[in-house]
Amino acid sequence: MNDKKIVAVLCDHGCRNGSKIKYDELKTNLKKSEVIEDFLLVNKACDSGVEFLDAYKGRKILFGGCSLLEERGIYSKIKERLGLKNGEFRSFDVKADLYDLYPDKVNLEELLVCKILSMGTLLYHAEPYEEERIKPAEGILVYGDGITALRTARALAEEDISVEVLETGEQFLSPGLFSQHFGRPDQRGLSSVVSADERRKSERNRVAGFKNVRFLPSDAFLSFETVEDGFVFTFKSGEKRKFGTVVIAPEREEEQSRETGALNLTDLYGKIVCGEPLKGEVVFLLDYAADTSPEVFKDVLLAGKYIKRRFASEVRILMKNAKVSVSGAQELYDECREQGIIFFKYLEDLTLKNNYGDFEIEGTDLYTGDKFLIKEPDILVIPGRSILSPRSKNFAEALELLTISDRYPQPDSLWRLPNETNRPGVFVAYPTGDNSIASLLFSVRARLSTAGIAVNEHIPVVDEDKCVYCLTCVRVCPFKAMTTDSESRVAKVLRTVCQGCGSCAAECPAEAIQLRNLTGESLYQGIRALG
Amino acid sequence: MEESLLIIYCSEGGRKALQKMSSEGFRLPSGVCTFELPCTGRINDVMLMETLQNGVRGIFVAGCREENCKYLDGNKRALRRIKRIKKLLSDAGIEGKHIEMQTFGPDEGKRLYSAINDFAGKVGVS
Amino acid sequence: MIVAEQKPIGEILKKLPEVEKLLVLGCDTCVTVCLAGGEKEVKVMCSAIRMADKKIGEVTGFSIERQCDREFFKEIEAVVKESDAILSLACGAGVQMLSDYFEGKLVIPGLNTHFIGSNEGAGYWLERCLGCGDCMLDITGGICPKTRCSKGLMNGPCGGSENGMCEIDPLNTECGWYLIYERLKKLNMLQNMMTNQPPRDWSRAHDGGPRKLLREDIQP
Repeated sequence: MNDKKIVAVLCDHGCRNGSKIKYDELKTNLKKSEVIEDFLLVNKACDSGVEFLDAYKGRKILFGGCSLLEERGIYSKIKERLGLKNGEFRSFDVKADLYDLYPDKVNLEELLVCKILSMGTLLYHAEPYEEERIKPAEGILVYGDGITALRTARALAEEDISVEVLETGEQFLSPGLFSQHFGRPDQRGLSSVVSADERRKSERNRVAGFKNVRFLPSDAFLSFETVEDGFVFTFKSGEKRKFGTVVIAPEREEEQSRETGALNLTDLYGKIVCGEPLKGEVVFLLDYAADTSPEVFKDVLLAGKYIKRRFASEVRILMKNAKVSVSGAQELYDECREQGIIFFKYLEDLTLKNNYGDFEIEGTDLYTGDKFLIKEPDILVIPGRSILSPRSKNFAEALELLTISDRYPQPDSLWRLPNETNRPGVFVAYPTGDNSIASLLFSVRARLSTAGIAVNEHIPVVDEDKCVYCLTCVRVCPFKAMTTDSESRVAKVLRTVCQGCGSCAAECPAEAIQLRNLTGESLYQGIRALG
Repeated sequence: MEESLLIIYCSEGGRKALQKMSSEGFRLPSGVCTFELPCTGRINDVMLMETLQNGVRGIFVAGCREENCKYLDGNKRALRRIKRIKKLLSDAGIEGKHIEMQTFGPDEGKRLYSAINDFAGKVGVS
Repeated sequence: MIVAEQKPIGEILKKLPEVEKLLVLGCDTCVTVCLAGGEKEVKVMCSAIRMADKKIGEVTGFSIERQCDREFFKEIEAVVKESDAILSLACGAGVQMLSDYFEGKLVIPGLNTHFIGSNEGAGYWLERCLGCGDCMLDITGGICPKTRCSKGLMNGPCGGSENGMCEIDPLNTECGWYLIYERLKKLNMLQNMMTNQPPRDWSRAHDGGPRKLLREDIQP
């Protein structure tokens, strides 16, 4: 806390129809509090310039205006002109957060006093601080053995980034395998099926040709720790290497089918590669063992198309939730229909009877409402859930990454790109999905190219006398920003990793953690000031 | 603050839902004050208990939709924390003190409005 | 560390006498680490009592380094003198020390002390030690059969060990002797399995297996 008192400024542009703020009453009430030194009312702050504040140099400023002020950069002008540091200025949207929320007849002055005092209390307790940026270390570790890992390594190497590839020494066929090996959906010819291993080998040779790529032997990884500018990996040879960024291209595998006699996509792929004839009636049952991801859906369409063309088989695709409208799938779907593949959208009541490999599928069609019965298809394919391979899973666990089957957290969140993990600086590369490597490159460039990673305003500050080193914060931090420090024996925050959410401060049993400029005391006082 | 209702909302989903609410023409009951936090995950037991102790009738927390927290699981942690406090309050037989948290998407202004009104009715603030 | 859990607040409120001044005393060591009786819990407890129990005139909160060391009581002597009763958020040892030191004051326990255990992750504590006073962990590869085996067998496993799990709860409780066997195999010390351990005096036995404390609200 510091002694600087606050000058509260309110824009009175008449955002609220017909209301006239009683300035004197407001000012008298505000000046009763110990945090507000003076109160100003300015007409049309968006047009009036910021010179009128010159007389208040050296004070903290609390500004209540509308979003227009933010858009026109008035706030940054004020900060610049008065030389205000972070923590010495605060603004709030008086229109959206106050005027618009209450009916017209309400006592405006009373509400304004509460709001200004509450915000003012927070500002009063805030410490000024200089913004800090920390650059991540150079070098990227790519984890994975498959074609995606290699392609990612090549794409990074082509951008003059030095890359080390940590191979896992295990290979699985993962979702997207048909898309990978039958070419891109828009290339129509699919006469030959190249074995996955061969493609991988040729890609590896290509990648090995780059000077800035180094391959680390499989299974070399021993342990790792996070530091402020990256990740320090210790390898079994005793070598320690620091990487600023980690990209995981996890090996994924498809779960075995639980229905005896049914194939999963991996089995089907094996049969195609071995050249087995797939004649007769081939049925794909989607959304049964697992919800169908866009990758798997495209795989199914490509496989169906191939089987239909090659063997002139009867192909039926049964689905429930799978979306046709995902990118790249629509075109394929239309093609499949043209070729005579039959699609059913089934309802909840689908039943599958399995009599030692002789199947009977009964269900209702969503569109027509008619019952359909498929008896003893020659081949039944049920795509399985995609799961991380054992070593990828171990690696993800060692890095304490949150995983949901093969996905990283919140794939659908508005706030996150699918390739982000819960650890800032660790990304995931996916084999397919549009521009997966391109979007990864975007994320990596964003991490590397900026002036550094900005330290969050609300980083936790650990009170060394109060901290009992119980590690609750280390365990609850969603981003793994809290670590142990054997020297000081108190919890330590990694400032680049912290996103300022406050979970640590909320759970700390000793009340030893306070967020910068958002301490428990200031929040409590801020709330008290409301009434 | 006596006899009033406090809404704590997060700067993301909660705030947007509140703005959506006002843009749709809904207004808050007059005995309601609002307080903004970057994430509902910052709320802790002490803060809520001391606020209730100071006389506010109820606290309503509006966070982001579950799978949409900017900070991964701040909202989920807050939900569990509030469940914990709700249990504490009911076990202690503390009458007339209420606390509730719900999650909202940025477009759910109307639902927020009715949730706040239901809650205000429950705690007796109009 | 000692693992404890707060008593249900209803039970605490019933135990509280009608006094003018109540002191809620936390302990900054084990029970803070297991999220049961630290500074934060003290504050929450104080607020809850103030709101719930109108008969108590004044509730003060305080927390000291350890309630199992009498040296730390010096700093609270004045506060205790002012109070009529103490609600202690410490383990059983702390509550007893407190009653011994301030003989004239009524001390009410606010926690249930469970076991000596380890923190296995956010919100998950597991019993690891019985405090039997005769450690044989060297023979069993660092896994205590008395604690980890549900039946506390000295010579195991019994016939109820299946796929590494114990028959008392095949989904959640591991077979202690299976763990010992696997560990000894890694240590190349399987001959220890063949040594017959003499029976113990189990007259003051614990049974029911290793006790676990799971707190959903802390878990990830």
